[in-house]
Amino acid sequence: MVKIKLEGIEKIFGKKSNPFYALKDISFEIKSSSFFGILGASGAGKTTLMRIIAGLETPSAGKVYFDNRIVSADGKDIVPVEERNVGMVFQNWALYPHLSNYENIAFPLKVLHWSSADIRARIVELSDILGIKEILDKRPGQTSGGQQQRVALARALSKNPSLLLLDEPFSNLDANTKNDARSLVINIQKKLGVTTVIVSHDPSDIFSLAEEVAVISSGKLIQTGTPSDLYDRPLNIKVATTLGEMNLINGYIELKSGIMNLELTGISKIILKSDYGKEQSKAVKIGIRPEDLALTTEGKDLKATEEADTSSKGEWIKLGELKTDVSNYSQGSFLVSTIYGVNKSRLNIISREAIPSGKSVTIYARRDRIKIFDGETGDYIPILEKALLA
Amino acid sequence: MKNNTFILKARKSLKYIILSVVAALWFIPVYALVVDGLKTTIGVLTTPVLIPSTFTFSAMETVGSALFGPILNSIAYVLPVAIISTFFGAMAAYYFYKVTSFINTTIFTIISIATFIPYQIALVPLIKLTVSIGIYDSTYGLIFAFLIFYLPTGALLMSIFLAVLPKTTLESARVDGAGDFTIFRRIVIPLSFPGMISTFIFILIETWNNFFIPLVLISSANKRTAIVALESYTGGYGTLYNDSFAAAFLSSIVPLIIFIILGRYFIRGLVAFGTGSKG
Repeated sequence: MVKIKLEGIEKIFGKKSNPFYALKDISFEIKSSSFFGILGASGAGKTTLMRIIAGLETPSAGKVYFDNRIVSADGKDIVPVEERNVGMVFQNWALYPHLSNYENIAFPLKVLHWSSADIRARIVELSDILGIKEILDKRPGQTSGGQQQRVALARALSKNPSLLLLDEPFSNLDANTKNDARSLVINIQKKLGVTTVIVSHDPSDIFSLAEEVAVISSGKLIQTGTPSDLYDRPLNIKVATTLGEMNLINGYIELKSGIMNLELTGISKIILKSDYGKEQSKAVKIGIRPEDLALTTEGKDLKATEEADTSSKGEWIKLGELKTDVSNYSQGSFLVSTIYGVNKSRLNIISREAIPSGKSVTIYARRDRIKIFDGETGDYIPILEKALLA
Repeated sequence: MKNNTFILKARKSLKYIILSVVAALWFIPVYALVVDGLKTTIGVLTTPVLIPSTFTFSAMETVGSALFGPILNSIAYVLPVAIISTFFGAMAAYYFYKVTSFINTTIFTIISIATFIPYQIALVPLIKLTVSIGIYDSTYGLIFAFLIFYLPTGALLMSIFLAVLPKTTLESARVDGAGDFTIFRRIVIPLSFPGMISTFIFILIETWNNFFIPLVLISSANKRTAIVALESYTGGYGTLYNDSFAAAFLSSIVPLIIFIILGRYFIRGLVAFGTGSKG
């Protein structure tokens, strides 16, 4: 399968006098046969990037390599899209409405002049794997969203592409179908070993599928790495919030002779031991994911409650007492929203049970999961990684 | 509730009443042509236009044999013009749809403006041109002249129909390895077929009914087109009204038949025009 390399990719839309940089200086590599994710908010430029890889869009500057072959360079397509041997699943699937599902899947093969016997054999094979045998004679308009998606996937895979591109392929599916589709995609990718790139704004797509991920924001590449790397050690606030929900608390940090004062404005002050080195004091943002917070009611100690047992090692720090606001149900647990500070900011906590509004709760946070970001630049400061409770 | 259903019913019947009135308005001329074309020379002069009286095929027969040649002449240039303009118009429209560049936009704007220029102003150079390339007074000359005026129309109409095709469908065909011609043949034509039929009918009727261009480009009597031949029935010294009614009916029968056969596509095309939905 093919290895993809991007080198200084830039894409400019609009007039020369008023250029809009959709992508700026993007370079990374996608290993052969790997499953790669491109994550970003809508408008970040991730679809443009995928279209450049596919050959549907020409980079204004920079080079795209398929293995060691340059396929587009500096405003020119050297290998056009139809010769790149790429399979693509579009966000709206883009099936041909006037053709049956069978003919849809056969289309790329007919273009390649396969014999009809070979086409039939290939479609039988694919429809077996994808479970779409019964709907082959129907038209896309007569089949459900999940089935259409599988037809689109079969069409993308039918010609044995060396690269499979998935553009937000699950965003039009309901939650249950989504999981089926994800497991189907990951299994088929492992089976065929085709290099696969998925573009998504949904971190759960990335966590369930991708081995490596690139986070893109405002046309710039921010960080690449494995999804769990990025989740645990995000380069900045942008990456952290793109990968999942995170509470951001304004605060202040003061490090002096091995003792660190961490103030979470409106919540509490924590004192820690740290050998982080240089003395400093600055405004910071403190990021804590909802699952790294726990709460107890009626002033109970966390160790006495269930919450502490289920959570993995690591110390819990008591943050303070807050008033609850609303509890939202989300997939087996509750997201309890508490209010703090003069601005009535929200702190969201994952809890096993719903807590009535207006109740006073004690908040705990996992020490090793608290993330400190620079208050101005938003960059991650690994200051807490070696800190210990004083 | 009762009141509501009454209003709904009234609305529905009002719709049908209006439709019937409009249909009748459209039908009256055709009806008059048929009824009066079937009258005798005396009958057509002595009875009101819309009331049938004497019944004879004589006018239809004499006119029919005289118009047979001109009708064939018309078909000979009208069909190629309509087919070629629609097909190449669709190709041009596909290109304009696919590639958006400054040059393309400029060319497209020129085409759009060109379709609104009255063709009469270009007739003298056109005659000179056809004479110099040796196709004056021939079917080829007519086809050539009409293509000049109706290829842009075809491109303009087809680009309106193509605009409703989802771009991702064409892109996905490119990803699937198809080149431009395959995409045009296997995706664009089938998906815009109702639009192509509408364009075809529109150009066919326009060229069939055109009087001026064949009048100046054709000089031999045996190469006259149906509409030019029809003019000879409004004589300078007196008119045989039954003959001219019959002639008008017979000369419009070809577009009428084509419209009846392909009309449902034409309407689908119009619907696509109005709503922007896929035909």
